[in-house]
Amino acid sequence: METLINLSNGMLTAVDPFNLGIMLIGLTVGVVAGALPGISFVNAMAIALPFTYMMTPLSSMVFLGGIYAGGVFGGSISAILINIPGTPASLPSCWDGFPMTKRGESSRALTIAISASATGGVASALLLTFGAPPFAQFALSFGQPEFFAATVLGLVSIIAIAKSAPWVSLLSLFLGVVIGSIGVDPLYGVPRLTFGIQGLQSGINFVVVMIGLFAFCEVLEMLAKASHGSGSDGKTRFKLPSFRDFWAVKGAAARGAGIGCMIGMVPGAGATVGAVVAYGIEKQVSPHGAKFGTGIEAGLAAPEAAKNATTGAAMIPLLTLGIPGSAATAIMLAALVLHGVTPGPLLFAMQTDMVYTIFASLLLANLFMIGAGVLVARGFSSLLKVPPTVLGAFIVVMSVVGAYGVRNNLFDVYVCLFFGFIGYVMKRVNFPTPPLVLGVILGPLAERYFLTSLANYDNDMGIFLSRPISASILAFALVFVMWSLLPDAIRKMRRGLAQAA
Amino acid sequence: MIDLYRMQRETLVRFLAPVLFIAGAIVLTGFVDENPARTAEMTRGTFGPTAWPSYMLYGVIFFAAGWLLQDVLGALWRARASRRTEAGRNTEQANRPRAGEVFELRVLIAIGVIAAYGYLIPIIGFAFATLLFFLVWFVLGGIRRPKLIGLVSVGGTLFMLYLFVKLASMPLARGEGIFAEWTIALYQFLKVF
Repeated sequence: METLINLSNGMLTAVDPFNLGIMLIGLTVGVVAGALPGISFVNAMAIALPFTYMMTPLSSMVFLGGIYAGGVFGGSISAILINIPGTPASLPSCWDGFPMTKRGESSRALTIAISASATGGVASALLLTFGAPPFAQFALSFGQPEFFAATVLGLVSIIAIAKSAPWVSLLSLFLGVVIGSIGVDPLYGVPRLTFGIQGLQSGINFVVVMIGLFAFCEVLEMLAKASHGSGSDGKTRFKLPSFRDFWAVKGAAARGAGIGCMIGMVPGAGATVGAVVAYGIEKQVSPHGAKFGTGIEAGLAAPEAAKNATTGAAMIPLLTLGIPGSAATAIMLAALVLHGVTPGPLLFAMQTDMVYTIFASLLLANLFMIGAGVLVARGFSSLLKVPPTVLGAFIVVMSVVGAYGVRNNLFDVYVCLFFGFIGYVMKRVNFPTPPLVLGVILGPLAERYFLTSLANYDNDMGIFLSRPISASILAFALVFVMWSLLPDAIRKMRRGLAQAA
Repeated sequence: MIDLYRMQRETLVRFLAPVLFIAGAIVLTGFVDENPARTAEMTRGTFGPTAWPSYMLYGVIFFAAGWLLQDVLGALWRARASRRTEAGRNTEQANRPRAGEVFELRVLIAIGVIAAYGYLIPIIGFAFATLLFFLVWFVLGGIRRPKLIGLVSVGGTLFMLYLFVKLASMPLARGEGIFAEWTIALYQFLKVF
């Protein structure tokens, strides 16, 4: 009851015209930044940080929270429309979202993405409001071995996606992890696989790989089929999200939201792991699982809900323990510290009004995200009316600038071009690219958690199995692999035996 | 026995890919560390900085070997089945791209144009390289209306400059020598600098 009273007080402060206004600005900025490949919402948050100096701590959190919620969703717009994930967490949205666009259902795909994202976001904001203290205690029991186990779970979830070709997919995943390990190691500072090339010392950024593999590859495909008429979806008008579209995927969205909330609480796991795991599990439980990857609504709704569900959940360790689990929450922590606010259990006791206003704002941000998402998606949808040659040229330039903008380094542009070529070859010979990208994204995280776990526990490899939570997550990962692979393997074996007979 | 002559060329290429992965990964394991002696001294038998990429390369070798084994067993199986009935041929083969389809001339030229664009950016600057890229790309893409090409190229370049130089304040390459001067003059003229 006390929580409800605090929340309603927070809601009153959140709907103050100034707070509401900056939240809406933040949302729109976040959605646009997320939708532009290479210009991530984290960059937008970092750029926005100095603007918060002149705001109150509460307003700054509302503003940054808006960018965060909007940005996590925004990446899906470009993923669905042009097969280029604006953020790493939007990678699974390409798998079923883009095939829907190719079928001329871009509007429907976007409305499903928007409504599922809002569902996930609202669920996590409610979790943050009602469950922050107990879940914070749970999150506190996570150490480096548990973070490693959670990252491993994210990596193995690719099995569910690629079970038709497990060997090749795992090969692609390991290649991605190798690419992610290029550069100076996180613990000793020793360069690996750099071949004396200066540019490789700082490693290969996953955004650069992602832009190369998806953007350039798509442009080359576009050019191969180029006709200078209208784009494939030129006659489709963007429609507002309908309740019927959402109702059709309610189960997938609810499951995705639940998974996202659980994974979001684990510092360091983040939206990417949440989205990939949600996609993998949905593929297993959905009656249309075998058709995933061909434009199935549930395959889009689950990761969408999961990635936005991580936003509120990621703020639980931030606000209750002062632990930022991602770059975005680290910027929010910086904003709090800059204003002299120390996150932790005392924050709930000393500044209850502010805490509940942040909760209320996040709740509102996820609801208003539907409006901001529709506005930006409508603008982006018109891109599909542009002739493919013209659209392709703009994608190339945006991608080159996006790759350059990651570290203001031309070497990244060359790496991006290299991966563009590799991606095109991979696509033509049916070698799967998503596992490789996932390996590049999660591989460095897994390595860092693995090495720091060993450093903290006297190089004891058994630490991952002797700690109950980490052992449970790893056991779940193993069960997941079995669950994904065994039925197919048994079916193939039976078919083989039948043919032999 | 497998009749190698009956195998299609694509099948051989398919076998070649995992072999290349295995060979490449084996070669790379020798290049993980530039100074293994120093690293060994630093880590003293613990899980050092080169262990992770090395194990991942072993993973690449293992899964490439699995892929190869799967394909070899599959080919053996198909060869046995095809001796019994012609209908036993794997339909998967039909879905694979034919060698002639893999590369098209236009795509190869496009890759060259994108590479040239990346190469020219630091030399002639982002603004001029982008304008040149747009012009070449539109011609390559089959647009034959000079007015349209000119308008979209100039308009597109200006839009990019406003977006990235003015709004996002990105320090994009201005080129070398005379191109740097021209770029700065252009920025001043457009009031984006």
